[in-house]
Amino acid sequence: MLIKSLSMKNFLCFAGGHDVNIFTFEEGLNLIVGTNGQGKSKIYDAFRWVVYDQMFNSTERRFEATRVVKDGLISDKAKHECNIGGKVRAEVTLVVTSHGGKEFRVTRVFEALKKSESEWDSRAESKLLIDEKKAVSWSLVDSSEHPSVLERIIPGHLSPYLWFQGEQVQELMDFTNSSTLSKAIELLSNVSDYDKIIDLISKESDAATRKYQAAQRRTSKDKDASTALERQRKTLEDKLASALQELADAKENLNLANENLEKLASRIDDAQGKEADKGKLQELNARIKRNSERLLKVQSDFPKKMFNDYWVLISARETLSKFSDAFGDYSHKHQEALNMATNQKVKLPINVPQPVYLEQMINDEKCFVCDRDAKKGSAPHAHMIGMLNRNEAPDPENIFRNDFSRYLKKLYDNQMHFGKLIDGTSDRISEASRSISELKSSIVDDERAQLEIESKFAGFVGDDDSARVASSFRQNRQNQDKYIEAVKNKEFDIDRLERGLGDVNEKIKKLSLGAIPREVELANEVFIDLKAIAQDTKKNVFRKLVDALELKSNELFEKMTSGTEAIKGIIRIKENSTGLYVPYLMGTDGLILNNPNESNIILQKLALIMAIIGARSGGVGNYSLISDAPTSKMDTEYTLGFYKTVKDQYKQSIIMTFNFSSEDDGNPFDELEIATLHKIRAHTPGGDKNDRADLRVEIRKIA
Amino acid sequence: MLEKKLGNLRPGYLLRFEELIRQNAQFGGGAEEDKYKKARSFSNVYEFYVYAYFLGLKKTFRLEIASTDTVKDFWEVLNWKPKDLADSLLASALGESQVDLSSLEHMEEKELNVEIKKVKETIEAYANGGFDYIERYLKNDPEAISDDRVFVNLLAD
Repeated sequence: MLIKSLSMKNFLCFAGGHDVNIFTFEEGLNLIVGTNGQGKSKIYDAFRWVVYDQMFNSTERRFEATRVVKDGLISDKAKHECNIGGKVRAEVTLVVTSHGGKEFRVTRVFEALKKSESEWDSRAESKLLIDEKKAVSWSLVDSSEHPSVLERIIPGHLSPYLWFQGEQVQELMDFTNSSTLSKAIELLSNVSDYDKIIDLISKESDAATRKYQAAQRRTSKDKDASTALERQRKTLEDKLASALQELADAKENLNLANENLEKLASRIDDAQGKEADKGKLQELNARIKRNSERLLKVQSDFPKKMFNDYWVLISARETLSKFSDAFGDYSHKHQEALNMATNQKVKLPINVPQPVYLEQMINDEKCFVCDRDAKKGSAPHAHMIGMLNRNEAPDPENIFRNDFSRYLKKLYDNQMHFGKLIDGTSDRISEASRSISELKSSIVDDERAQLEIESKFAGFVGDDDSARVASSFRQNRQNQDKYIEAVKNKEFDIDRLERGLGDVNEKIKKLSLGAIPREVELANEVFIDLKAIAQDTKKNVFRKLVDALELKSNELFEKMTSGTEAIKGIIRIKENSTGLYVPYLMGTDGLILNNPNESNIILQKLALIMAIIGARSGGVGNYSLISDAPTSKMDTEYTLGFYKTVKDQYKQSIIMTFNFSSEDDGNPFDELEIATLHKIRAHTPGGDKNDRADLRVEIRKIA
Repeated sequence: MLEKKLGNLRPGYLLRFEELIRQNAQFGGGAEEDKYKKARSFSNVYEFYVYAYFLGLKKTFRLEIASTDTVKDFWEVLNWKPKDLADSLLASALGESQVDLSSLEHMEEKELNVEIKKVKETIEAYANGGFDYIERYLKNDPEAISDDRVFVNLLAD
């Protein structure tokens, strides 16, 4: 049925009666335009409430029944104006027309009693009234007919795909779950009819098999052997069922790994490159740190070496030579003075006796020169001993006032040592300089490389997830190998079990003596074949449906995105190893598009929804598309593309939207050839925007 | 006695070099790391002094100290390290001051002190000459100080 009008009385922000809160619609594209907070979503609520007695709670992201929302669905203004003890009603009326020209008026009513300024006595349930237009008057439709009328307005299974809010699209078509699309196809197409046939045939097939086996048992020539074989068959069948389940699980896991690898395929090179860069960066950081520490050490050692390694003496050769010369001169003179003192020992004065006489004089304690006594311990005796000992080295103290020879010799030896050291100083300085230059140059080169890599990373939009991508790729690659092996092993097991089962069946057959009725035998064979045929047929029909869906959704997607220059990709629907069909947005290179813009994702999903609904047997010609803000995340080009497509695909669509027209764009509404255009504006006549008791919504029909 | 007298010398520098010395040497010594982090090339004033002496000598740049000049001294030579380097400086100064070493051995203390003073004046003349040279050099090229090798290069050039 198509919708002729929607009117409200004191429903949410729509204060006042049906006469002021009314929207009239026609075939084609009907737009209700308003900026944020003007009541667009409340109109969507009105449609849902009248048909389903539910409101969408956007905070909790779920639908809530009237008995939960209660007086919350009545206009604040109406509640405020109601006297204590009085009642106030909220109503929503939908007028619809059927294909055959029948017209129904569907009204939902909710009433509440004002007990105090803040307390309301709400009836737990709303009330639904449906009238059918008869010639000039309305005739009440019996409540038993209500579900049928409502189902004709919007069938329950189509509802999520025809009546939806923009923010629900992502959840509605959640492709992270690989069964989403297949389930939607099952639900919206007639393909599920094949399941009924398969079920029917399966039951018949099982019955025929049981009958055949019973006949075999009855006619067995060795009942014990037959019983044992049947037990064996049961065990094999159980094992086979279990192996088939394990194979299905392994295939599902393999499929998951394949899907993930495919998704990662276009990112792995980049991610591995980034990982390599990260490794290089770490290496560079470590080397820079190490070389900087070494440089600091070498640099701090450099001036220190002027003293520790005596570089400071590099030019001191000349001055030290001067000291050497002075010392040479000094040394000569010093020695000369010493020698002179030594010579005195040899050339004794004439009046001094020879040592042989001196010894006798000391012994005799008598001086032979002056012929006087020189008793032991007396000064003359000591003088004689002193004269005898003149052979010992002369005491410098008796020669020099100050003897600096040891000190000056030390200074001389010191500078002689430095003389050798000075020769290699230049080379040692050069080597240390070269070491500093090399370290500096290495640090500069490494810092440049570090900067290059860092600037690459700085160019990445959003968080860098290369580590996760690389790790995920490795993990999925391992999983792929593991499950390929598991599938191979399971298939081998199944083959073995099937052959075993065949052998057992053959043995049981051979034990059968009597003739099994031909019709029993035939029924068993026929139903087994029929079951396989039905399953294959469904599969083929499904595949054809998917092919048509892919074609149609791309046609719609292309149409919706034709006005934009952005990379869009194409929709590809692939069957995975578990028989489920999963859609992808692929680039022209055959790889999955990474991070396509959000508009593309939503349009891809909308294109699939339209294609599925369009492919449905019987189409959706008689149902209206009702959506709240489906294009809220799209720019004008995407939005226009979407509305043009919707206009072509649906006989009637009612869409609440932001005002996407601007003076620069001309008037896009003209281009769309819309059927009706309403503009809504919430306002508070009293001037206080926060006063909800004064809130009303102005509705203007522009076209 | 000569060793003691020379060791007890406290050669000085002109007050005008105080800032230059503070900028490039760590007063009161300190850890090598601190010195480097504070961008000072010499970890002691005596290091800078020894350096300035040999630089003045290399550049034959003497700055005689007049009796009217304000001079600051710091530590006795006997405390300078490495000891053998301080001895080299003394040997050099003895050579440069043209003191007759052999005659020193026959002098009375008073006369000896006159000769020791000559050695001190020689040390101070070359060291302050060196400071003066460095000051002018850095004034001409203030950026030069950022080169770790500036002092070594000055000496090696």
